Amino acid sequence: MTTSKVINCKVKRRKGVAVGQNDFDDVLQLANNLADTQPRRVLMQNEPTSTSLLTPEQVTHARSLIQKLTTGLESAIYGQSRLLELTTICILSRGHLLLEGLPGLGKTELVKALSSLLGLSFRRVQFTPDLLPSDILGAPILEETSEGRRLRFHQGPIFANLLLADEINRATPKTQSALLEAMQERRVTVMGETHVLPAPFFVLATQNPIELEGTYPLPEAQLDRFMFKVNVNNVSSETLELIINHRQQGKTPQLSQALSLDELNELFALVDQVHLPKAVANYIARLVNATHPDVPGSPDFVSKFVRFGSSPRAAIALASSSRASALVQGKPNVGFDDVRRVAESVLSHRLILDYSARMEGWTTPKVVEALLKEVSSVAKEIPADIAG
Amino acid sequence: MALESEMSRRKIDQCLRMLNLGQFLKVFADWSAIYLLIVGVVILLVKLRVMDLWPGVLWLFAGLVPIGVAAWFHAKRSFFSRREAVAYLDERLQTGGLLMTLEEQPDLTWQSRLDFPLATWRDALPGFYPKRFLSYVQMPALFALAACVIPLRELPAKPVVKNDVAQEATSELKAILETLKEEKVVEGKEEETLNDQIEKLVKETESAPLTHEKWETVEALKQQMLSQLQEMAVHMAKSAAAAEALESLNLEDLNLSAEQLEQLQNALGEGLKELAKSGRLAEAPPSVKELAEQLQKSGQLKIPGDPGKRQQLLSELKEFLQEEAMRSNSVCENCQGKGMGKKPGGKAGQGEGEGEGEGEDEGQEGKGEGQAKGNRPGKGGTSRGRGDAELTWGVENEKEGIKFKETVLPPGFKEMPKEEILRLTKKDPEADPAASAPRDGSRDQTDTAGSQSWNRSLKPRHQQVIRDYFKSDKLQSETP
Repeated sequence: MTTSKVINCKVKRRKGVAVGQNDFDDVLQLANNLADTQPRRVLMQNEPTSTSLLTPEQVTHARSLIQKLTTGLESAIYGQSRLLELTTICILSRGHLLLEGLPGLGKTELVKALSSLLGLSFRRVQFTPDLLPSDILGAPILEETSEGRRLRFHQGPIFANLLLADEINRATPKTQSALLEAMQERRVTVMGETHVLPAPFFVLATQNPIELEGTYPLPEAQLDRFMFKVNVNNVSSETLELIINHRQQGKTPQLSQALSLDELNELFALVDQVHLPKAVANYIARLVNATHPDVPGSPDFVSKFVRFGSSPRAAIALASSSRASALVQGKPNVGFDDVRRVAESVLSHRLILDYSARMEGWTTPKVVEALLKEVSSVAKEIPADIAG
Repeated sequence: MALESEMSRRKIDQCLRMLNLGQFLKVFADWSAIYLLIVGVVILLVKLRVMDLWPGVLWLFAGLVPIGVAAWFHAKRSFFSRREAVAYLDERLQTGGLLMTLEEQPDLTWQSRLDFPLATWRDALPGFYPKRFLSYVQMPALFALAACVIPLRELPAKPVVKNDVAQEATSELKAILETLKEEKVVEGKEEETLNDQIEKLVKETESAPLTHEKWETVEALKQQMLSQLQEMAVHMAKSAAAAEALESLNLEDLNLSAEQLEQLQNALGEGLKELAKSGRLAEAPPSVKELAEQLQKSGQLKIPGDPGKRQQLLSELKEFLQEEAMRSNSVCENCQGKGMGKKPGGKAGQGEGEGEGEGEDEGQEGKGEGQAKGNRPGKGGTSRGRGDAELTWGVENEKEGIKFKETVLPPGFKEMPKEEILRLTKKDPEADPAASAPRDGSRDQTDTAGSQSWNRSLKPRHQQVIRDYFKSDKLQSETP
């Protein structure tokens, strides 16, 4: 399975062309090979260790590092443990995160706290309708030197480890699409010159589900590049009381760096070393495949309510985030429960529902939840005569 | 550690076997249910139609073995792989993927995490609960077993007589023919012809119903045979009358013309010839035998001239001929009864009181019975009986399915002389006109009719009408 096949499949889906069974077979094969290929590739890049399982000591060490990050986040954001866990998993799997929620729920504070704890370079861009791509990416500037005039590329705010795209849906599609290449390939091309972004590179975007007048909903291609889309929900009254008692003027406490860059890279390497059993890879592949209404054997509600299913990129994201989730749980391998834990955040923004779904009150999280119930962890149906 | 690894390996193998057994049972249940249904149907057919194949048909149950083998090979296509079995067991044990991981990538350091007690392994293994299998198979199996229990259909020992009317008619013909043979009325070629015709009729009516044409044939044959019997009876009667007349001539010393005397002697001779022909003279008195022998030899009846001997001979001859005449009449009536008098209900139920009587006394009894039946409500008459008669069905016709068709009498039947002599009596027969009178409303006025009217209860609304009618003031006002 090559990247071109994945992209070809993706292009077909976006154009509304029926994606054939062969394409999805390729995706299944890709998912099955993930366990073998991806860890080996990352290990070759990062550390020359064998493909053996993580040792208990390594897992313990990783958990302690993750615990430091989680503790720091919990001191900044109260009562959002699920949000913090998903954010941690997203960071560890090197994915981009889209936070959606009402104003004042702490989305921006979460990103700022994350940047403080990781000690990475951090830039914040407030997206507005008059924002231009060059305002994000940078632009060549005519510079007067002793040798004469020449254009020198002036880096935009995207050249940072952590980019906070606040209210991303308020920028025009032109500006939004400036992020496409950066998010997927972690590089920027301006006037024929390609500039590599610093590693690691994360885009943490927020968007407001209300006040949609004058906003530009993110295109599907843009959404697909976010590994997680997390809905930030309201907090309980106890949490509110805690916030009131412990925050003066709503200011967050001064956070110190919890993880160094080396430790973060070490965590990335450990995540890659988490074993993905073939049965789990098969489960991921079947789960993603089942989101497509035109694939034989997809559940009825998918055929009825889903217009377009998830892309192969979703399968890759699901596998990566499942690995991170397993490490967060202190396991050297991925289990079915790890996949289920992150499935909603990975798949929900990648499904495009039909109008009939809206009429009947089906939302993407509900579809994913139903899919998790429908798709069994074992590929074959357990015979009724021996079911325990 | 190795032991733990061995334990998990054995349990995975066990789990895999159970899962594959489940797959096999799934296919086997479908196939065996269909097969058992077919076996049940086949057994039923054998028991009802082809009884000779029982109990050999039970070998069909052995067909479950090849069905099972075929189901196994078919189920093998969908057998669980070891990886799938491990995944199932991993879920059941809730190891979070560690079992799958160690199966793919053995690691001694993590193996200890799978150190579950034996009970945990046992609980995680799939249990054998063949509910689906039983639910699929039990009904077809019960059906097949029930088909085995059902007794074989018993063929009736005696074939069902479908055409009993025709057979009865032909048997009557045979009986009459037998009587004719016994009486030696028919002999030689005539007997063979009658016999052949009756046998042909029997063959034709074995399976086919008695058609209009065949019924005519039956009647013609019957009439032909009866007429011969009647002819013999008439001869006997004439001979007896002639003997009586000659005796009375001898006693009263009357003079007859020679022609009349010759007629009487001829009639007497004919009777003796008939008796000699039928061999009935063996029981005759010696003088009668001697007379018959002389008649055979000379062809003339030689009555002794001595008045004493003549009187004795004529007296013996008269008695003998009268007995023979009565016997011939009796035989004739018997045969007639076989042919006609056995129809149940007959005319007796029509209120005319003819009954089934054979002689005079029996005829009287028949009349009485006929009257009784005629008076019984719902048993005949011009209508279906009185209005208060119970509608009793079932004795209307004992032979079900008989359709009385119009029958055409043999040609010349009407013109044939009615030579049937019921009885020779000295007095006129007594007739009961009341019994044979047509039934009408006035005949039913018996003693009980008035009491029934008197005791009849009136409904209240009718009572009031009657009271109003007989009120005294109304009577007074109407009185002039």
